[in-house]
Amino acid sequence: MSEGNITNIVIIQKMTGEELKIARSAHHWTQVEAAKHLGVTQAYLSMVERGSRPVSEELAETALKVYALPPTARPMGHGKLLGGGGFQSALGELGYPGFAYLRGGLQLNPAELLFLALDTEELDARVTEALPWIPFQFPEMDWEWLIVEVKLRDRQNRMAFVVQLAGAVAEAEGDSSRAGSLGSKVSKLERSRLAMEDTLCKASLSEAERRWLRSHRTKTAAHWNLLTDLKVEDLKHVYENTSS
Amino acid sequence: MSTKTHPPEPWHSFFHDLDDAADTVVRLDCIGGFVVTQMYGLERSTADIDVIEIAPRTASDRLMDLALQGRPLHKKHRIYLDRVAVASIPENYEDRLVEMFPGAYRYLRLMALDPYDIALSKLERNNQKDRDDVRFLAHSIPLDLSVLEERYKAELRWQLGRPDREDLTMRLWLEMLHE
Repeated sequence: MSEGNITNIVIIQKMTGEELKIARSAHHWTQVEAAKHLGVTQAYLSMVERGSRPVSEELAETALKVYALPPTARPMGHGKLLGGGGFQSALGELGYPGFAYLRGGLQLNPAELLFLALDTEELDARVTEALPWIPFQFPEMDWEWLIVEVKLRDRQNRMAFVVQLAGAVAEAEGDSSRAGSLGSKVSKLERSRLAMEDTLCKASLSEAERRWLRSHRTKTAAHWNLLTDLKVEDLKHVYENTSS
Repeated sequence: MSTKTHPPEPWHSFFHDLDDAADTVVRLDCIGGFVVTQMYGLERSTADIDVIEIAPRTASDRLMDLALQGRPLHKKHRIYLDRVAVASIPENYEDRLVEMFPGAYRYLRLMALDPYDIALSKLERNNQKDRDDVRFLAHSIPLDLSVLEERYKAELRWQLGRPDREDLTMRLWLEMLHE
């Protein structure tokens, strides 16, 4: 599948009423106050929070802004038409330094963006090297959803490799808590490791590069049967963002 | 090759601000992804502008103070100059420089390395980005691979810390580009 022609079907996870209630409580707002900010009636908000009415897409988008919710709270499913330079601008929108100059990118949940990228056969190498930044920067993203999706699409080797790199960056930074958390996600994928050889979103690799990578890749890449030479030393951008 | 009169945004505004800070003609010798995209037409962008030389040196400190990572122009435009100190470049590269966007700025002269020199500047690092850029140059210019190999032997190999290793990299590239 080319970067410019993505037709993945992503399970749409909508925001729940309970999540709305938690966000309101965090702001110490009454339903009346929250309804005013959200532009709905208190009665309607009450029904939504109780689950007797669904959270509409419009209300979810308003709530993301009003409650200043993090990108990890964004509903899934908005990126199914992502293509062309969409990965770059969506990463820029999330704050990835390498594409920060691209303003106004599609607002995506980081877990969905990572999944879509991992499920792409041909990514710009600069996008591929940005991928470990996502789990490093958003360790609280929806891992359960992500792991199910990558297994369904046989992308677990790619994901484990990317997360392992992110963990290695955390370790190098002295952030053992984050490194441990990311390491546990990798462990969950160990039993479903695929034996087939794959690339890291680079199906167009020439035969010469494939031969060369088999003997020049890192042990981590070899373990996950990936033909890639991406390594921790290439991930300066992940360190840079921690101090910005 | 690019025939545009100036780079797109945000690069144009970035260089315009840099130009405003200069008070004499300043030459920036550029390599890397910025040149490959703006001069040789690859359709992707990069946040940093790799420069190997800013001349004269009296102007260099002032401009870098404004435009390196974390400095005011980076904060304003979200792109920055990156002074590349370690890349090995073919020895006579200056004779082959080409000006990008001539006349676009009052004092700034953005100079691009010749495509063979750009390619060879990536040999030691040789990561996926570099190989993709070299492959693009090889097909779009197109590169004469015998010239690439000859220039490697005559102008670059003797400068390298591990020439035996880079001989293997050059062989990989030639195989890759012949496919």
